[in-house]
Amino acid sequence: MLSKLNLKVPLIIASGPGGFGEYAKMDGFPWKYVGAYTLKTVTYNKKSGNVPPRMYARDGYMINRIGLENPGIDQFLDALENGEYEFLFKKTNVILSLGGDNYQEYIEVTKKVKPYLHKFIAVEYNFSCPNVSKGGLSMVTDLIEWQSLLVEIRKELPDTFLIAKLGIEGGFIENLVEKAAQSGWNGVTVINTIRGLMFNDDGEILLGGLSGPNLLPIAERAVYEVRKKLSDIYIISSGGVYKEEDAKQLLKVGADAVSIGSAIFQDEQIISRIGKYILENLKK
Amino acid sequence: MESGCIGMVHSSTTETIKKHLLTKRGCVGVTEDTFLITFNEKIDFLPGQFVMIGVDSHGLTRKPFTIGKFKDNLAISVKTVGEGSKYIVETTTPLEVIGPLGKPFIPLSSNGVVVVAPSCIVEGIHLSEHFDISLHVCSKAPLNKDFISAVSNDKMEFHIGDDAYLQLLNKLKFEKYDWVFITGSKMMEKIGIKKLTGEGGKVVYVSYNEYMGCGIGACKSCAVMTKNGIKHVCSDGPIFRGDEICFQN
Repeated sequence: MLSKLNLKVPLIIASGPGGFGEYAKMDGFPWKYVGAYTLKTVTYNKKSGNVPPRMYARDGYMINRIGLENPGIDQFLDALENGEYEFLFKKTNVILSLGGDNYQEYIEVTKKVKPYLHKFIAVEYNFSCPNVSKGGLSMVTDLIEWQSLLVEIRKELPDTFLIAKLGIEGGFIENLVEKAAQSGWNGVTVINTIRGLMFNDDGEILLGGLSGPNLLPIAERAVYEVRKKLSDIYIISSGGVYKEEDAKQLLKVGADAVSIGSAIFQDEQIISRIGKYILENLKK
Repeated sequence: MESGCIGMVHSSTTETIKKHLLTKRGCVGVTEDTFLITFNEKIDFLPGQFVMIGVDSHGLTRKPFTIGKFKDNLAISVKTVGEGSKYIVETTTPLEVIGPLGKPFIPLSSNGVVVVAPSCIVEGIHLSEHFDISLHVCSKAPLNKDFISAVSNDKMEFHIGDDAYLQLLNKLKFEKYDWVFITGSKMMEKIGIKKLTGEGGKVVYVSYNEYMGCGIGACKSCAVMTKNGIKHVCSDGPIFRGDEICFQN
């Protein structure tokens, strides 16, 4: 079984901010430094997402409550068959992100994607989105059932590089990752956004997931604890990466790859700066 | 009915999103906290479209601004509400800009009128000139006198204070326009829609303002609830018919 993702640069676009590859339309997007691009999570059923407002940023924090808006697996696979993502496959490796509202939906989306796995270098499962009332983070509330799900997905996809995207709110993250490793999963993405509350300029309350540079120490601690417990699992670190130094620190505490999320809203050239830095330091 | 293209990338994938570096030509005060910035460079755009402007490390997202023309120069108007907008007004380095973005404004007829807050005055001036229609500038605070004398023309009227705005809406209600374009604060737009639409009323268009992450249709943050389900300001807007929007309480 593969233990590493073979990436030209260990830098991955996180699921969510990059949508379904819309950045491929942008002039001068730094593809040279993108090791892989994770699509927005696709769930069994179409999701319209949460009612607005959905985002607000201030100081070092950003909050979002998108709610996994996506077309659902059937419409997504139709688009995939019709070649609507070919422009992205031509640019870089693509990671598929999957989710559902419950155990059975996670299994059903897994079965549906089987004929298309050759297009993706890995499949990431979202067990950590804090912005949906069903699925996402709530999947890890019953750990026995969750591990049973991990085992069943692995049986369905015996040869696929499987990644569990985990947050810090389902218990000690290193214990969750251990269960994923015991279930034969190859990697983990740590962390996702953390539940938070912010008031926007109109005085409206946004209950959502916090991201932004202030998450970095939390992500670093999570990566550190996971690596301390599990020496072999592939770790994609995610959370608060905005500068070269952030990536350096995450790799130093045990990450195999660095994921860039909301930082691309500020400037997608962050990718080239961090990518270049990682490559130069990997050579040393 | 839901939007038919939630999260999908359609034929527009072949259209390139352009990046520009814009240098300031001028920056004049409209009110105490609102500025009109003109640029030396040109961008091809259509009325109603917007750009996302980078703020370096002065914010976590680029900021959206509707673009227009002022004395034939590319222009934006900026209300300083935070570090990002303050940076855009004060910096002397070229601004990194992506766009034009969003759908252009195509009104139902040429018989309309434009109502703007100072923060959207560039869009107002541009629409007024483009469609050769009247422009009403509604401001809570007095406008800079030098600015008024520089921009005034026979198609432009100024209304200062909340009461003046309400009086204008009452007047417009009975004038023979097919449509009224309103852009400013969410409250200003909401009041305008409430006063002017309804049975026998006008078509009201608003240039909607919702917090944006990417501005290019990827992140789905700039959602707006409409009678036809969730739409997105960056890809379906920024201009919507007022009677289609479901305002939240």
